[in-house]
Amino acid sequence: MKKNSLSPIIKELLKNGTVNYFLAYGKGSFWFKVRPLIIREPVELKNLEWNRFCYPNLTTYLKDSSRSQDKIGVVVKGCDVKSVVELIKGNQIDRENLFLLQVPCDGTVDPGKVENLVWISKLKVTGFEETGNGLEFITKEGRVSVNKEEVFFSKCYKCDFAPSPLVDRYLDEERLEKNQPSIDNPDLYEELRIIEEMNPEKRSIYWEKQFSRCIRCFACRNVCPVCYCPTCVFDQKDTSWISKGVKPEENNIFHLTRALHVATLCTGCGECERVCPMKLPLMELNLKLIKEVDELYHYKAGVDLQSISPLKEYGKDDYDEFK
Amino acid sequence: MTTMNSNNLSINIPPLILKKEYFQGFLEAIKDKYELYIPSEEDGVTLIREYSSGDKLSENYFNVSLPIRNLFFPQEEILFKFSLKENYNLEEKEMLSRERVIFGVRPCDILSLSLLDLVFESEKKDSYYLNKRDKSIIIGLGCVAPQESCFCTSFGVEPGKVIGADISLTDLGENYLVEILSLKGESLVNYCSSIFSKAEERDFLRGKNIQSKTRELMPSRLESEAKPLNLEKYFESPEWQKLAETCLGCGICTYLCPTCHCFDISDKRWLEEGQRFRCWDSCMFSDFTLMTSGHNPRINKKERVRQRFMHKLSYFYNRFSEIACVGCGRCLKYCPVDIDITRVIGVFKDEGK
Repeated sequence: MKKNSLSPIIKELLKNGTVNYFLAYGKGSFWFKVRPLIIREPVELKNLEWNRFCYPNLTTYLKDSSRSQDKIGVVVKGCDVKSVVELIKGNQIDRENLFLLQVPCDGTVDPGKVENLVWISKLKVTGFEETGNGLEFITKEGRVSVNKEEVFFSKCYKCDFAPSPLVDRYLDEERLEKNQPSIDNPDLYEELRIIEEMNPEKRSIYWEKQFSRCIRCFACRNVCPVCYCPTCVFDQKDTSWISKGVKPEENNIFHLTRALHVATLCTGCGECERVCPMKLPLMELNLKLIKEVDELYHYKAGVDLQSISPLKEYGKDDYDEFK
Repeated sequence: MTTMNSNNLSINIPPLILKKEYFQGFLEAIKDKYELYIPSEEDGVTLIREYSSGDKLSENYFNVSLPIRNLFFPQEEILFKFSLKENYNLEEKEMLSRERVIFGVRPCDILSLSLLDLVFESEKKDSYYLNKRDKSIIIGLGCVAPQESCFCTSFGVEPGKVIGADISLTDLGENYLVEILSLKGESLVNYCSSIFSKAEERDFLRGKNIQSKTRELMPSRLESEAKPLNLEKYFESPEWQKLAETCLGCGICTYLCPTCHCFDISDKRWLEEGQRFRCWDSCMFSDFTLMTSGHNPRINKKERVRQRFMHKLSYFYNRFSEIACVGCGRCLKYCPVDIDITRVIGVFKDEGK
């Protein structure tokens, strides 16, 4: 894609002092992975990467720099910009210290979906190439063509990208036009239907079963760009919210608290679910909360800097179930 | 043909064949007498789970996401219960009395148990761990399709060949080649001997052939055999900061590691009773070294990331003459930000030149 045009821009921004360092994507250890790359010197640009597997949301690293005066450049996709909106609204970062460089993206590939398509057939994938309409996976027994829509992250089908005034520079303005949702009028909450149709008892059994796999590695919390409390409620000492063990009932408390804490902040980037080694369907929880906030308060996180979170303001028309 | 186990006790059963059509029956027979654990897939996650009738071995089973250590050193384990009433009763945890069979353990994970044995057996004997080791019969299953994250051969593992288990299984396609490696394994095979048939010389040779083919399929993540690295002299290397700056500080690498064994001990108390439990802990968590005084010697990610690699590649070796890594590849496969132990080994090998 656009790796070659990305490099000179970053080089220039570093050179003229616009930024102190750049958060970008670097070559990973596997064909299906990229590695977050912090570029301080132009020489580090040799590892720069931009491909279908640039799914990590790099804005999570901005949490760490909230108290620094560094000027930071970030390579962002349309969806990542939403997290930046929430970080600015939450006073976590200073807009003045940021430089957002947006690359056109019409979907990132979920390695899990590729694995299901290609690995199952016991072919060994060694790499991939972008073709006109799809992706070609290079295997020891030849090339396998895959329609790229089959292997995108589910959030990509519902991409509602719109150019944001926050972005300092677009890599390729012509391509922005084409950067439209993959499906017209997608059902944003499609994944929830099955769960919403369950009765409370069934739903409780469903979630308990899912949560029972949790190993409390906290990757979901740590990767989340909007999980930015300086001391997490679960890291406080001498509280009895949850212990260090993994009792199922404590797992429930952890996951429900995590999801509720980011309600009105969660932009649906899906990083929590992506990193979970136990494949907990965490986006089902987050999506449900996004939906509730949307329906009750007509509010969506990450859209603009002006609208105020429903948890931060009071209105006479607010939903009130005690009326 | 006579197979020897690690204690050089003679095993008198020659290699056998287990037909895959009898496989489910084999599991059922084991279940009648033993507690049985097999790798099974649920909600897209393959884990070792207790077998109940009809459960299927995970299809295209590569390896379990959570390492086998969970069955010997569980993530949470109650050590004893106590009462604060007049007589201050202590109720010790019941030890396993029934034997259990763990099916389908991969060669890398079997090696990890021998490393954990060093920790739990060599100085202080850990009765909780040793009881579970003692009561377990391990059926190893040689790999046929290593993944790109695998590098067990760098630690002397033959991915296709099971060593250190009680029984070795090699997948021949329609059949399994069964080799008995210990007296425990012999007792299990004797218990359900009618399910097996005698292996012919050609089955045995085919098994050996498959085992060596698997080795050829291994990707070469590390050029050669991993050697102990004298990392202490790189303690102040700037490389650690570079490695750590993208680390999220989550527990994936440590919790998914088959050789990590750090734990915490804590009490859970209600009004008049309570329990003491131990649970996995991770050096990647900021509170791992937090002291009562509030001081934390590993305050930044740099110190924590360095500790993890130093422990695996250097400190453990200094103590036990083994590297605490078996090349299972879980940490590099699952790390959300692609921190890769093979790269770390590479970096410091180059620095040493």
